[in-house]
Amino acid sequence: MAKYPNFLRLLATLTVSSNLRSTILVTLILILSFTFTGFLSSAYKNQKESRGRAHYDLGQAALRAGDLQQAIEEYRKALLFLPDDSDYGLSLAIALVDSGRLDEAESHLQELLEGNPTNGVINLMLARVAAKRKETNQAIDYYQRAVYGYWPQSNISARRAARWELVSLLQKQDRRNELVGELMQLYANAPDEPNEKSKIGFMLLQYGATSNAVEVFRDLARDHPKYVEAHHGLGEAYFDSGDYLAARREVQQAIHLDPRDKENVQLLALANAVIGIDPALPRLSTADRLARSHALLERVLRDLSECVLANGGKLAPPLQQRIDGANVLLASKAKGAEDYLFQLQDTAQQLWKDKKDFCGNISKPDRALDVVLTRLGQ
Amino acid sequence: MSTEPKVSVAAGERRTFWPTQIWPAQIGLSETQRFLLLALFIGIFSGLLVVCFHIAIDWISWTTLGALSGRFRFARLLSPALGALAAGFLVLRVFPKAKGSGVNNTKAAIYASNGYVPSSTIIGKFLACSIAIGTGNSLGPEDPSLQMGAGVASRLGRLFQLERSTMRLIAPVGAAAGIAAAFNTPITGVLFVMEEVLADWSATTVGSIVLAAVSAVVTMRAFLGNEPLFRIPAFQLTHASELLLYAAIGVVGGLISALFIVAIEALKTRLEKLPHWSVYALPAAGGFLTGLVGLWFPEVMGAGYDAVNAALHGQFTWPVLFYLALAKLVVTLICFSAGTPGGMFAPVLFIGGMLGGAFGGAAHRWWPFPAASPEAYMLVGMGTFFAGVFRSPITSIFLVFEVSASYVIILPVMIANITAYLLSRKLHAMPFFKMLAQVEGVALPSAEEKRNFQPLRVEDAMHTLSSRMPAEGGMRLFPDEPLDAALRLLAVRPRIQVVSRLRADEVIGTLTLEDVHRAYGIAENQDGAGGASPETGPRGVPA
Repeated sequence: MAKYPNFLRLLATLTVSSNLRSTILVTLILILSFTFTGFLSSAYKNQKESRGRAHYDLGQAALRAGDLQQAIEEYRKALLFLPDDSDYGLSLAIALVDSGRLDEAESHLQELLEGNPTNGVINLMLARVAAKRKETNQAIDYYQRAVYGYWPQSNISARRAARWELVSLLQKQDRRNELVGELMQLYANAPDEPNEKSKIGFMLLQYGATSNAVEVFRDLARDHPKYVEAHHGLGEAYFDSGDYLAARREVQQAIHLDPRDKENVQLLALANAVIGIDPALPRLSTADRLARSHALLERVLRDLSECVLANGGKLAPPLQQRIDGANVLLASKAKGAEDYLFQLQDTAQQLWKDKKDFCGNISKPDRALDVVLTRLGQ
Repeated sequence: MSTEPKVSVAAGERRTFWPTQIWPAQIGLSETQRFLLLALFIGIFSGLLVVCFHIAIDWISWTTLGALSGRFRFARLLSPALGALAAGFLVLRVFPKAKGSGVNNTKAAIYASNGYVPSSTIIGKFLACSIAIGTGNSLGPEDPSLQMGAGVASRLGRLFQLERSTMRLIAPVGAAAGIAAAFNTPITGVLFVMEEVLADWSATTVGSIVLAAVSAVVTMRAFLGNEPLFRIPAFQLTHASELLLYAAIGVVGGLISALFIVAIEALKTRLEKLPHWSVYALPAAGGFLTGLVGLWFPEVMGAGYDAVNAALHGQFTWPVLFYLALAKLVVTLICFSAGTPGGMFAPVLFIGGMLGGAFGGAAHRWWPFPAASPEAYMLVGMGTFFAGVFRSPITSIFLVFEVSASYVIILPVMIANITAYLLSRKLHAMPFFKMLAQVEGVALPSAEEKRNFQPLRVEDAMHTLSSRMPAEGGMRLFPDEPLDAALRLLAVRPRIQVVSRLRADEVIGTLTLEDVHRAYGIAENQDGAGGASPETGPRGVPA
């Protein structure tokens, strides 16, 4: 051992051992190969990116020009070069959805979704695919994921648009409760945009969510007192909820702001007519209620008689009996009894229903009477 | 006593002494560890080579074909022909050793050349195949990658002056690295080499193959990214009745794959008989035909992976998938039989995938029960055709599993692939690579045949004793030992006792050289000796 100091031994190994020489040689070649391949692959990636980008730009241009098919072709080529690029994939998928190629679009979207399950756009596109296929539950599911998914700050309004799409789908499917829920969510997150809020309010009214509509329009009227639709909507909402006095007040305000609005004028007339005959109006004395109920039944009987005459005067015995009973009730002297009030109202409602059944469309509708009696029935 | 190695000054002694004595001692590596280290190098080099190969193919493809549509129609017609002409010239005149199937060339290197693969093969395969595939000829890059990997391994083995026995083992290591990097699937690379190239292996070989395959794939991914071979959309199996459909795909795949092998054999044999000058013209003619078909179906050009990905994303209707499969089958048959350099793996996956997709699309339309999306059938179709053509059922199952990364596909794939494998084997017994070797006039062993070969055992030849006897001392055999092993003992003693595994002191039979001859069918031919009576004759050997 002492004969060969370590450095000499190492020197001898380096110069003599062919395997070590080979290892050093191979390592050097490996380093060179790595460097060369690194440069090559870098150039290759750049080339792929630029080719992909060029096709993507062509696709965008084709889309702007309205050539959907050409856009799809270019997006596909772009994806050949950069299959991992989610922008390219998404653009292709959107174009495919628009062109109705749902299977292919879904395939791309599902792949994109795997990499980004909370992406709002991808979920929205999948919702559209499902909606086009009439897979409603699936579509609602995707819409909800889209609504609660991630949207870039620059495109935050798209989240609301997605919710509006969901509302539209629910509307088509007549799913009232979900629809009202979504509308209230829209309202809760609505920007200070009176048109959108009023749209929400009117849709709530349309689907019978009057208390929600009152809330929406009341806020709107408070925040935008000069906005006619706010007062009009609030008037309608109050009217539907049975608060005719408040409805009249709001409609008068709306007419004050825009006197030319015929709809408001008609609503005011109706409100006045209802207020004139409604026996359930607040702050009426018992005597007034009794008088109004009496008048209501008389009016119903009159309408019914007109309708019967117009139809030749023949009545079924049960209906004739109910009319006779009503006349007896009107002529009775039990005006002080509490039951009498309800008897008058019940009879009026029953005869109004009979009138509707008997006369159908022949009778001229009496809107105020209908509103009051329907309301009493509720 | 000093253990210091003696440094000899004689030049002749240096080479033999230092490499084996000092080198391992210096860094404390055993022979096995060195082999594994070398496998790592092989994997990295193969990975780098495959990266460059991949880039070269793409670059040539972009230059000659563009993105396969629209304004490149004229280029599409002529490019494959010109590419095939150039590639054919390269392998025929400049790199003649790069000619032929990479799998068979690697096998030839293992079984006939002690693992020697000339370095020129690497360059030849690289240039010729990248030109041929890049210009649109319907062939794939995996088979050349396999051979290039084997070439790299062989070159490194020579550089490190490996022993002959080790050199034979090093080529498959490189082959596994090459194919694993080309497919971006390490398990498939390992399995294919073990199933097709090597029929038997040791722990060290398996370790090296795995290490090389993994390092090759890691290297490849480091440069080209972790992009899978196929981008598989999510799917699910919907109904148990679908398993019948998958078995049916297996039947279709098995049938068509057998027909495909027969067609290649027939066409190759016929083309081999043409005058010599035709070897230059045939690839160009095949390329021209590919270009012609490519005018209507550009998807069939080149390896076709882009088209498979497009199909996996529902771009084509099922009739289109069927036409694509048919078109690819025809052009691949012609390109491959014409001798254009390139491999068969990619086209086989393409054809199988498209057929499976077409089948799935049709099933979606007419099958009365719910069926999975056609994409699932595409994957299964790939596996069936792969299993049917290459007769590597395990590789085919893992290939689909690995490229899809989906466990739900495994059951259908197993059913379909094994059906296809068995049917194809029944219809055309000779495996694809053996058929190729035979057409080329080379006698290479088939791994499938090796696997199926059942060596005779001692119990097949021994005389069974009617009553058990106590064993004497000395040499003895167990009934399940190979007959070849018995021959070594019979060279020393004329009669060997066969004892029970459960009771080693109990003789259950005896074995003589005559028994062995009879079992091998030699005795009757030589001297017509009858051997034992039916009562006492060797078991398993017809009397």
